[in-house]
Amino acid sequence: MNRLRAPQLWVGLAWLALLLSLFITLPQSTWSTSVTAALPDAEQDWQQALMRDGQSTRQVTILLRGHDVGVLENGAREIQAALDTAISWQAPASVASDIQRLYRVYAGQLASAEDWQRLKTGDMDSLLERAQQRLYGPVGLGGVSLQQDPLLLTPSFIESGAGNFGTLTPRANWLQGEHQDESFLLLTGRLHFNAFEQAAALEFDNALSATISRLREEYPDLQIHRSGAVFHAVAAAQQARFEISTYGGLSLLAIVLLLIVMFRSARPFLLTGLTLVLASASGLAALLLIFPAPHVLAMVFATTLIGVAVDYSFHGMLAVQRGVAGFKAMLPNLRLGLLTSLIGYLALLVLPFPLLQQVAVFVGTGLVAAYLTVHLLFPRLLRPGQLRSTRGVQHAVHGLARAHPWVVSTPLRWLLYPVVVVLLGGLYVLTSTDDDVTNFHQSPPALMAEEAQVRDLSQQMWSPAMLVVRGDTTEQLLQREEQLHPALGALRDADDLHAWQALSRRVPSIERQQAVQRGWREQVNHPAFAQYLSQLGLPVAAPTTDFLTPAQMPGVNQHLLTTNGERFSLILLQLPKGSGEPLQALAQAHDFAEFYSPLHSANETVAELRGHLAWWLMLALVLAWLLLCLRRGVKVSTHIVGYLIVALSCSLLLAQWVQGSLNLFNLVAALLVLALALDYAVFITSRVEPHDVIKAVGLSALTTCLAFGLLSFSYTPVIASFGVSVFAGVAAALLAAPLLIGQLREKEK
Amino acid sequence: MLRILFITCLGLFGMTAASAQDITDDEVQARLQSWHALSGTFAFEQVRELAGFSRPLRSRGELIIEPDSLHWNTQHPIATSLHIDAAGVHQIKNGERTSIEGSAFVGQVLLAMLQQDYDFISEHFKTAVRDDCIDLRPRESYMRDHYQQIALCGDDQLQRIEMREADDSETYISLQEVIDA
Repeated sequence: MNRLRAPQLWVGLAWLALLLSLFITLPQSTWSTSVTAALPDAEQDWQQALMRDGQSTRQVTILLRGHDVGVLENGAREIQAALDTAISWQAPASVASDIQRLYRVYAGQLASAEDWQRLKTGDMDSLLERAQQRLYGPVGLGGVSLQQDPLLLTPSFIESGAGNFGTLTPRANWLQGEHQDESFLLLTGRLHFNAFEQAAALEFDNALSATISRLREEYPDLQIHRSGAVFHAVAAAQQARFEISTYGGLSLLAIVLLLIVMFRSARPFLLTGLTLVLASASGLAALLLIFPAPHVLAMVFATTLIGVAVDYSFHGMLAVQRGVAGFKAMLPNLRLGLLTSLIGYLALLVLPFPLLQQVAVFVGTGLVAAYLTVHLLFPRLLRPGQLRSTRGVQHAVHGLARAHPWVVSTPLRWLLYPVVVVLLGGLYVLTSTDDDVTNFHQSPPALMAEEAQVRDLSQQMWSPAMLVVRGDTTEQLLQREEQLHPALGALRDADDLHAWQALSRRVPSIERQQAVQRGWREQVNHPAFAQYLSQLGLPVAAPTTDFLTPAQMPGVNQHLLTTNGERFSLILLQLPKGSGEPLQALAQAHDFAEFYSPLHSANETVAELRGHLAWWLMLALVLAWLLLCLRRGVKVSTHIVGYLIVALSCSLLLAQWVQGSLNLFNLVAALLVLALALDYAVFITSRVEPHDVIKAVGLSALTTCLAFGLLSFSYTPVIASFGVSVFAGVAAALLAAPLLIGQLREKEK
Repeated sequence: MLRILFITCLGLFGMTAASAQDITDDEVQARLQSWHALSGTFAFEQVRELAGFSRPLRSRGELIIEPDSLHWNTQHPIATSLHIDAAGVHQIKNGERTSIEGSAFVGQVLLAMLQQDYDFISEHFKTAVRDDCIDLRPRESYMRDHYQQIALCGDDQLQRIEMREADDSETYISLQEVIDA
């Protein structure tokens, strides 16, 4: 074969540089497992900042129960000691103590929303009754100065949820609670690392699991339950790793077996392996160069490269057997297949969907590398006549080739258009869609059960949805939050909201603090209040000009967000399932507030993307038709597009039947089906020797069906969806191939 | 020589203190066990001396002690009713119960004192015996925000509770069993 020409040399060098970059990027690579990381960026800056911040994903809660308090405390101490370097454990008693001391300083100017309403409406009787009950009851005043706060507004403010842990008792290193006459302990902490940093997360999970095993051995009745994004991230990463290795391994095994059956030689296997290795390494190198933290799901979807790369290598090997002329005759078809496939992936690159962009970069680069391997290396690694198919395969291929005249003589190919009409009608009538991102991933049931246990007892679990308030200053944020208090209280009374937590409930605005201390002082001449003060012999302290501010309060960062000079405060919500609408209405009634649900927002984005993808799919069909028209003519190209519609429709209809609805990933799979089926169509309608086409297309389709058929057994719903769709589409493309054979013969005439 | 004497004294003091603590703990348990367990209805009088106030606040009423809860009914100078259990303090008004949030610990302390729950007391307080009283000092900082010290006093049963709060306010509660006629 010829020496490399200058352009080929430059392409080869660039390719080598790309591969060598792996040595630098691979050791430093970090992989993301978060579902949200796979989704498009939020629309607004503050939403992006909120997602990047990921405060909630660092939270870890561990529940210990099932034993007496002494054993629970021993277990808690062991767990805390084992994970001390990876997590900052909360010290509830000290936090509660600091807050209590702070509130005492500002007693008399802090009042609950209910007491503020009473002060505003002059309902002194109920305020005085409550104060007297407190004074003459067994519960102390919590260290609050009666002179500073004669109505005892501040103890009531603290008890309304400002400075405590609900019914849980803050202990030095954990919270203690009672449930059904049984004590439990809750350890809460914040990870020092992002929950989706795989190595750190795995090390953390392993350390905790080892400690839990040891404790369970010592105390068999001890129950330990975990809650936190890190546990779901580790489970997802382990599942993905298992699936990649299992399905990747099985696919590889299937390819090896097929090649042995076909050729009884190691050479085809080595050449196919070389194509796969170079294609995968190139795809990975490009992926790591472009994306700082690619998603593990991208690698699962990228297994589609196996099918196409195997297809290219078969075409290459079989063409080399036909000599230089045969090889050169095959190359334009391979390029046409590559070009049409790249059009499909171009669609993914344009969409603002990180996961799909990563799949596009990996597979697109891998396809180019597979083509370059075949074009540049195969003629140098294989001689004509070096490969011989086994007799069985030769018989099968000859049998299929002999069927050509029968296929051509029958009006079989004219069945294509009625079939297309029926399938498109079926798609229109039968399909429905589901864009709920929570269905994309499924954590193990045992972990979900643990999460539910912790959620029930901790009282600290907030819905992902929140109210976001905008303001120019922190004081304005607090004042605006306070405007929402009455409406939020009403929603809670109407059971549209279980609970809510806002910064302004812990630190009232300065305006409110001034109003509270002015409010009760203005009532000193109220007869009942005057009598109360006189009975106690209580002088009224002078008003203060010193006010509590958020900067003094520990642990309020989770409520504040500043991005691009704009300030936001976040009101956390505990919503009954599926009841965001009243909160949405509340936000719409105030121009400074917005109801934000990351999940709801993600669902909307996914629905929008699914719509875009459907249009891109149609556009890709049109582009492919235009491109094919240049090489195959209008009639053949139209027939090919009909064939592609059959493959795509079967892919979507089978997915609809299996899943009950279609999701975004079925459409991504359809795009890959389009790429593969186009490749088959290009070769079936080419001048390449029919025996070679039958062998290459048959092998490619069989290996792809096997690889993606296996994916449909995945535990991860999106991967299973993807597998079902690609399997159905490629199988349909293979079975519908005879519909194109007439076109081949017509072209040859 | 002086150094040896000092170290010897220090050692002896340490040993004495350690053995005194052991004896104190045993005594506390013995004292609590020697008291009759409280159950039924008691009349109480409460005197609260607020820090910085010369005029004490006096109240009286009825206390009903049940196995897992207390009913604290103040009758004078105002009528108020509280239900206290391990979950906290609940206000009873017109038959409706309203929980006071964050009162779980206070509820548990009151319940443990009146039921003479040694396990709870020793878990949360350092204890010592003084005359006819058992002194309790909170072990954890959060508890010290509520109470500096509590004393449980009585001869053959708990008769008096003395509580010094974080701001030096003091509350004295005396109990007298009500015998049905």
